[in-house]
Amino acid sequence: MADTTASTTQMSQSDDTTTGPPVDESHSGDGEPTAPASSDSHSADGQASVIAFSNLKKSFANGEESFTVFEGLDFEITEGSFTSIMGPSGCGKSTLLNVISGLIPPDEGEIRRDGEIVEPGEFFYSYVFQEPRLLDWLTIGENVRFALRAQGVPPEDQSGRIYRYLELVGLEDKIDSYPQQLSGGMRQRVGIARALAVDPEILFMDEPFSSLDEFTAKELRADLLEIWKETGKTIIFVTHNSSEAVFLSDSILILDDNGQLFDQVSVDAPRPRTIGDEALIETESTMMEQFFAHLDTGPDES
Amino acid sequence: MNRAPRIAVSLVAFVAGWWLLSLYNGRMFPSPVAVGGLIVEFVFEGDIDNRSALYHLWVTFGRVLASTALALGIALVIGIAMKTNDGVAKAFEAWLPVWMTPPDVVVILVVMVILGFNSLAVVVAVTFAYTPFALVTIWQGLQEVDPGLVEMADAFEASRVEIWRQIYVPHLMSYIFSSLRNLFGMTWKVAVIAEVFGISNGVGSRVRFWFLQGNIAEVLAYAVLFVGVVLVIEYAVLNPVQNRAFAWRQA
Repeated sequence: MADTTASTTQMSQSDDTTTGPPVDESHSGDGEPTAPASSDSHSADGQASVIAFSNLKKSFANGEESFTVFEGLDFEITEGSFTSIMGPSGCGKSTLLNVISGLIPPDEGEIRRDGEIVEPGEFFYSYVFQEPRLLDWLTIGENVRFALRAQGVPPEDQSGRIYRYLELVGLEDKIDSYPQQLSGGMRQRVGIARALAVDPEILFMDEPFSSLDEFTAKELRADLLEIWKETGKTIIFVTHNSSEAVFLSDSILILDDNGQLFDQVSVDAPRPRTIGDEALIETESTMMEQFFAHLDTGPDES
Repeated sequence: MNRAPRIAVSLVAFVAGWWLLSLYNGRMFPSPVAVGGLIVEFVFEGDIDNRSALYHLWVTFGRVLASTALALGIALVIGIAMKTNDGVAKAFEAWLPVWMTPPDVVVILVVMVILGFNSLAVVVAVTFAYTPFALVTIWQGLQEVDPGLVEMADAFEASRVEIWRQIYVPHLMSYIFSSLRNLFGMTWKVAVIAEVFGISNGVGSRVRFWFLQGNIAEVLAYAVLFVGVVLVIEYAVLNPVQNRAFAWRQA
């Protein structure tokens, strides 16, 4: 079986040799990830790779002046973990995401996977956007197929994958519906299914729940954790909602409004987590207290 | 279906109003019955040129179809060129208002002087006059494509061809359709005017003939036939096609 993903990208977890029936077994067949299928793989157990970013810098020229978005960023992301990037609006979260994904090159810095240098664009990633960004004239199934086709997934594998990932987000019975027939939350689920269906190494999520009402967002957060547990993907999640970050993440990168990495907080509360959990609330309040204290003192003194 | 009775009522009101006018002045406003009789005669027995009115309608229809298709096709090609090249966009944005300004009659006369009094001249004149109107709609459609969708497609590494096929073209479909309907409504009228200027067949030629004879009833017969055909195309062809093509909207 040919490689099921785009030739320009690499996949670390795919098993390209199997073509089994698509639906019954959630982790076999046509290029599915076979390794990290349980929650154990989410912790750094010594086997998961570590992606280390060091001394990242990005600035933009604005006329003759140069505007530095961030500088000297150092952080690590463990494969299979859930990492959030948090910070006030305009702090460079999206720019950082674009640098990691290779959409824009950094001015300085390097990325290593288990000690070996890799180019930013080498990660095979996919995106969940703030809005679902579905094609209204295609059915839900065809929307997922759009991404599969773009990634060069062989036609015979597409239908199985579409069904499987729509099933994963609980929308398999909506496969022939059009986006406008679905609620906002459902549409965002389709966006998640589409991003996962191409079987990325890293899933970038750029404030995916910020335009949903709180009830829907709450439900989707819980479902996202289930999906993450089932697929074992590395997720990098951008948000400015501290409760959301603490509830979802293993690790939170906090940028201040000067684009400096102010803190990397690890959230050790056991999973499954419940909203309102005391440990989570405590982590959040400590994190935010330190953040506001840092803002008050100003970057020069920190 | 409550649309049928509504249409029936307005139709009856229209015919009644017409009939009242004919009572007032039968020479200037021939009665609906007289005009209806002429329509039946022209369709089934032929006009005095021994040709059925349907033949003339068909000839006009061919010219309208050709010029509508050409205007839309040219507008699409220019629109795509504008979208992919800033220089082309700027040039056409500057010249579009000029292109839209000349009166149809002037365009028709100039083209006929150049190409002669024939079908080609009608098609070229109508195409020239209406391409800019189609282009305005297409250009607007191309500018309103959601950049977020294109960004999404780029993130999944979709090819340029796929992006055009799956995003630009489907998005443009509604603009193409609305442009097609507008064009169709307008090109009919101009094509007939062009025919009036000196073509030997088509609805316009018969209107000219009967007008020169001073026979209003015959002129009206062709007008009614003509309106009927346009409405049939609108409701029996364009509407159902549009409903099918945009099923996702009714969703």
